[in-house]
Amino acid sequence: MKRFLLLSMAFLFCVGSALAQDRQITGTVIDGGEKSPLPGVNIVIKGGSAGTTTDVDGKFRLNVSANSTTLIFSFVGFLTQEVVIGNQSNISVTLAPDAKTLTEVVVTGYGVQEKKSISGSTAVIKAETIRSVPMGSFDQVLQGQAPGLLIQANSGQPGASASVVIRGKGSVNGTNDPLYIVDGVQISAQNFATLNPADFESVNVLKDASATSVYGSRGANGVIVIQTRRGKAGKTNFEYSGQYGMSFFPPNRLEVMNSNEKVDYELRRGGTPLEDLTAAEIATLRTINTNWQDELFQVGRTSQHQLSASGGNEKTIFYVSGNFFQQTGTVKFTGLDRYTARTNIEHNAGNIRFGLNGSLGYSQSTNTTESNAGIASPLNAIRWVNPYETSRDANGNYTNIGSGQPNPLQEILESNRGTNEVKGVGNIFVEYSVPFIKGLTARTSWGIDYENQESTSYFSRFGFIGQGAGARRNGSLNRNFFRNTRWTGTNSLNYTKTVGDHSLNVGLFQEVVRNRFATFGFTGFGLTGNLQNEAGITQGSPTNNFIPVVRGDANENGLVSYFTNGTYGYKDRYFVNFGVRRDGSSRFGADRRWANFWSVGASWIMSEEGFMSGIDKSVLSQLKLKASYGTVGSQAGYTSAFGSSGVGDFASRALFSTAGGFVYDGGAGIRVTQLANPELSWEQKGMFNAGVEFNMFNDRVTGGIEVYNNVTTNLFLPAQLSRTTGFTNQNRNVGSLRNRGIEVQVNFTPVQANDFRWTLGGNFTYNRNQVLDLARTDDFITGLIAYRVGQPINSNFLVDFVDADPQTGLARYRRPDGELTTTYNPGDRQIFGTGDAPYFGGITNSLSYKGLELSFLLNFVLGNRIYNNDRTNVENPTYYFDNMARVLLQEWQRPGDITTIPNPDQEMQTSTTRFLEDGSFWRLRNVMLSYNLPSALVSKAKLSGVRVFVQAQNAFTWTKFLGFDPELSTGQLTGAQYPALRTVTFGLNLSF
Amino acid sequence: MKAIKLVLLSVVLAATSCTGVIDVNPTHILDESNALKSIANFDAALNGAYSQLRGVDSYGRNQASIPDMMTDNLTESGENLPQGTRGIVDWQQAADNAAVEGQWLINYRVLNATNVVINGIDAFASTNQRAANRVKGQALALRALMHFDLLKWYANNYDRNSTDPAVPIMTAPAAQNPDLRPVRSTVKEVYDQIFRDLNEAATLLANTDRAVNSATNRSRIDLTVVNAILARVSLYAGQWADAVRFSTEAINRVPLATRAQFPGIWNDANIAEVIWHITFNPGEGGPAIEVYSPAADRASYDASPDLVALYDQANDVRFGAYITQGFRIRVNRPAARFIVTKYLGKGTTRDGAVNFKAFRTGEMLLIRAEANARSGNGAAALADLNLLRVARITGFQPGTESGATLITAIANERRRELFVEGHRWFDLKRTTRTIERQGCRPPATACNLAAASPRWTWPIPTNELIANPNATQNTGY
Repeated sequence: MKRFLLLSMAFLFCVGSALAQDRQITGTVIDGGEKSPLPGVNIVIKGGSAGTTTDVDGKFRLNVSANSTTLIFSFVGFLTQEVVIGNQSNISVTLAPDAKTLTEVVVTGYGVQEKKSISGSTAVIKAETIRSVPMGSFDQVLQGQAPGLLIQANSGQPGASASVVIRGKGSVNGTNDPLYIVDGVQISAQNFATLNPADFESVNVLKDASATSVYGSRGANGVIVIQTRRGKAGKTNFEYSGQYGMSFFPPNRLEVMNSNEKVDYELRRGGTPLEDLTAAEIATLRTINTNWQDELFQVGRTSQHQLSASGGNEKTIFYVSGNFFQQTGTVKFTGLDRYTARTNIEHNAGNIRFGLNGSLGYSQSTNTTESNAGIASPLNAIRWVNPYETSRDANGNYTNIGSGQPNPLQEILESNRGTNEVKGVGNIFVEYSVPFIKGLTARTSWGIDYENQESTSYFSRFGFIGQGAGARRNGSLNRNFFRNTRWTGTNSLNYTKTVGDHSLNVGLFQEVVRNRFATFGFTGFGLTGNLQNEAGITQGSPTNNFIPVVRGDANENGLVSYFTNGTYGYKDRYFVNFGVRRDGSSRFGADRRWANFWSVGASWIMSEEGFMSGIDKSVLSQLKLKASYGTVGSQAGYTSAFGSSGVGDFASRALFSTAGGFVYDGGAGIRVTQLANPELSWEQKGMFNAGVEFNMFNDRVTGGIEVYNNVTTNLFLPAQLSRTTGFTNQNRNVGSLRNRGIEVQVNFTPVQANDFRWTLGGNFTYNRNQVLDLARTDDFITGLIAYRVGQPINSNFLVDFVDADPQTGLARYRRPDGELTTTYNPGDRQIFGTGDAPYFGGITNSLSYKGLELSFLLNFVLGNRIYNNDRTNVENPTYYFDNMARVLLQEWQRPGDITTIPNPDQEMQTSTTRFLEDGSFWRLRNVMLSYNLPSALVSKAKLSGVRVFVQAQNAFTWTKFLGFDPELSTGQLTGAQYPALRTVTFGLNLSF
Repeated sequence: MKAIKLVLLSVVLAATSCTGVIDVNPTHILDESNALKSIANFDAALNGAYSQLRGVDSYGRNQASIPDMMTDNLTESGENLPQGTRGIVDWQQAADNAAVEGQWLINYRVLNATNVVINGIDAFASTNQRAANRVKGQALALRALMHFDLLKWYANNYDRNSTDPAVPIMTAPAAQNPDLRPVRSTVKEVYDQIFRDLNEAATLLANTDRAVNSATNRSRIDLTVVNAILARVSLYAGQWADAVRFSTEAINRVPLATRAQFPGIWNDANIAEVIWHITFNPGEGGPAIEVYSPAADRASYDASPDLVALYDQANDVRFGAYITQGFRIRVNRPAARFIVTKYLGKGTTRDGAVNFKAFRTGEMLLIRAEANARSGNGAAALADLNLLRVARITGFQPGTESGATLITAIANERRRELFVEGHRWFDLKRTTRTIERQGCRPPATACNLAAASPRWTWPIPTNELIANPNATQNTGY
């Protein structure tokens, strides 16, 4: 690595040693409409071929010879302007917008590209929509904002991250997470609680092979490129934004019995301790009716304050911010406190430009266990504990729940789970404009994503777990530390040239990414005193059984890439994008590490053609056709603090583990945990995309339609092995699957009167996932899920449950041939839909009058089916010592009863369609009312802007799903669900 | 142009230096280059195999508790949170039942672990032959035991020469052929392999560099354990003379516990008459946590009324060591219930983590008694039976049973002696093949199992049938 650094430096110095010859002109181009810097502007010397483009900040540098007289500034959507050089060395130009067209740019992480010239599939989400949403993890905010982007929260725990899938799941055993890039640095997916979205400038979603080609293997699942805010030259601008609000628990759709119902039910079934009670005691029980939800839930509070300053001069710009975010959840003792700071600085020193973008965050969260079916999870216990029990007795002591179920209040009060995290994301870059070759720049950029996390579970000796076997005697303290360090280094040469009608931009890149993940943890016992930390642990002895448990692990992987990509444009209406790359991954067998990938795309601005000139520009101002095809590879498994799955860092080797649990009788043990697979190699994806973009009726209607067809081959699949090997499966490159779909996005402005504006927007995605090939078998089954050729992945594989046989009350199943049977046979399982939603999208609506604006975002997920494991517990008649679903009151009791709830004396089979539900929902994601105070009023207060708003998040959900929240990416509700927060906040933004 | 060349050269140099970034070796896990490089490493690999016996699908539940749950020894209570056991205890087990799938998998996991050892240790024989004997002997015996345990669940009968399908025999590491899809060998073939492995193990373990076990710890398989395994397998196979011979070997090496010692066996205060125990230390689970979990104070199963009635409660040292009426730590349960308190924990701890006594002398005496009784040597059988009863029951007057009564008396004594030690289901399966639960009430839903029922044999797991088309399903599933 060190050697590599030295060589990289050499590479830069070699370039830098050449001498500058021409006179240099620098300057800035300002967007006359937005009054902001304008990137991507073409600048050419009149009568010559030399030229350049402005950078992200609208700045440019151009070497001109003595006989050059005039510069031509041009940019799509703006009127072209000519400027006489004279003896100026610094030229600032304001380009007036060409009212007919709108221009958008896309940030790819390696630069800015004019959207027009892009043949790939991209979406830009403006940061204003993100900044004010009161969420601990920014990914959830992107829900419904862009087509092709399916985001499902899974949890409402403050700071919990969501599942993000772009254009369908293309991998079964590899990762489906997109790549996240912040200012050119790769950051870990799924752990955003310590990032501050209020610093974001834009979020760019890159979806097809052409758009993601510079990210190669890392971009196989799409890329989310985040650019943080930069300073602007000029007066220093201060901004304050703050908000405060409350969160509420959603309504419960899975109803359990009340005391009266439960007592009657138990007495009818018999066999419970109630039988031993007197009539008077039972009458008392009927009156108790504890609402266990109320015991655990609260109104959550959210507050956030951010102060930022930005500004600079023509050489140096800066953006500095500090933020404090605090949120308590709707379950007691859950919440997140986050402190972040950011500095972005850039300096321009002639031919050399350099900068630093850095953020440092610290967060503290407390949480409760979720997504499990364990009895110690309070979120399960609220359903399972009988309503005739109380959390405390008359003396204020915790009660023992009769069935042996832990007392949920006791569990939440006598335990403490939390995570502290420090996260630093930063990069430095140096860019050198080679003076003797116009248009050639060399750049090196080094970034780090550093995460340090300490998570703690403390269980007092007065709780179930603290006493229990899992955590051993007299309380336990479990602390886990992990550190993840990822370096990303990129060296590049970029060349831009415009000759007449021809424009060319070519980049040559070389990149390394190395990730190391290390954990360390311990569990100590015997917390018999008042201290709840390490000092409270009783040291172990051979007799007290307090011997602590110590553990640790580390993983590492590396990736090297060489690639080139470029864009060629002709007459500003024909564009070709291309990319070629070679990637090497440490994960694969020694002979299978390297693979080549390529992409090509073309776009055509049809509306610029002569034959279209007959069409009035007020009807159709822009029409663009585009298509791309490319290959990408995936090498990623999924390794994080939350475990690893699929292709691990050493997936091709035979592994022998010495994990702590393999100790026998005090002696260290070794187990074979993985069979060697030296043939393991890249999962490959061929991605096709085609689309049309249009601007019509004076841009009152804009939008686009895209179709895509992505085929993953050499899938990482858990090839099923005969269990006689001692293994269930092995990760291999077998099989293929396809995601194909259509995406539509339309923005419509029905009314645009003087002060009144009404805009509507909608996006819709249909994604069809289909397994094409599974190599040796037609299907394989894991749990309740089947993978079968011709069907989507994550297909529910269950026995078709019909009802209870009226005569016997036995559960009746429908066999695949249609015959009804009362015999449960796993051989009768069939496919019933998939857990991955095929239809999803969002609708936005905004009404504004002068400074007042009312907007909402509605999003929907349709067509998926969720297996509700929560119900298998509260509807299982075996568990009638605990509380049950109210629906069991309709249980079969005597011959002739017509019901779908079978005879309780029968073993309840869970792998049936009885627990499969429609997962579709519509959700009013956000409603916001805001008011910008009139500038006349604001300026009197020596301010430059004041905005107040009130907003509601997740206000309403329409669904048939029997749970707190249908927003589940896994297709299964395991249990202990922490639903999405329903939050109302009031906010204030000031700028001065 | 010179500058361009320099740039290109720099790029090439930088590029070639980067390939090292993808040369990454594991630091916290072993691979083939460094895993098994010494006899000490093979000892660790043996530990890895032994440690799997603690799994819930092995002696951490299936082999220790389920054979009693499935019969008239235990009665399910309303406190049970069945995780795969419910279907089994009502004999409704399906081919996708978690315990049915787990039992199959874990035994083959251990078989692979033993095969890795057996296959690799020979290369170290020249270094230290007797150390290699010690390692290989244990691995062979464990391989035999795993095949035997599979046979007990998945074969429909235990006749020595039966040609009915049993289970696939695995004698090579899976790494040699991960795509193997074996057929089920016959009962006879599996017995042949078991005896072959045990006999070789006996030879090897007779000549080791050091003792496998000590006077205070019998956690590993030594020559005595091999004899005990041979005695049990011979009894199942109906080879009465061998059963007598091998059980005698074991009895002579490990004498019966005294009444004073007996209760201390169950909280690991002593290892009197323990031939082989599978060690469970705190945090490593326990053999009967799903019967009664002291940590959670959850009594999922109680001792059945007819089992309780079999004991002389006042005088039988076993009753007090195994069962406590109305036992509770904090849960308010009816005082009339008989809680299984055999596996509360080591010493006075209450976490259920206590060694599982896989083989002990009490069983050996009963094996010898049964083998003698069934081979017409009633006097010797009665002598062993009385020896045991006198040792366990204060003031016991030696019995005088003979013929069929003697056989029944031995069976009843097995039931008293080996309660929740993983025998009852198999004892019934290999003898009377009927179960009649007395006082059967909810949540139990099945109270009688007839001899003709296919449920005496577990199904071959669904996921094995899917991955291995050469495997055939048992009848009735």
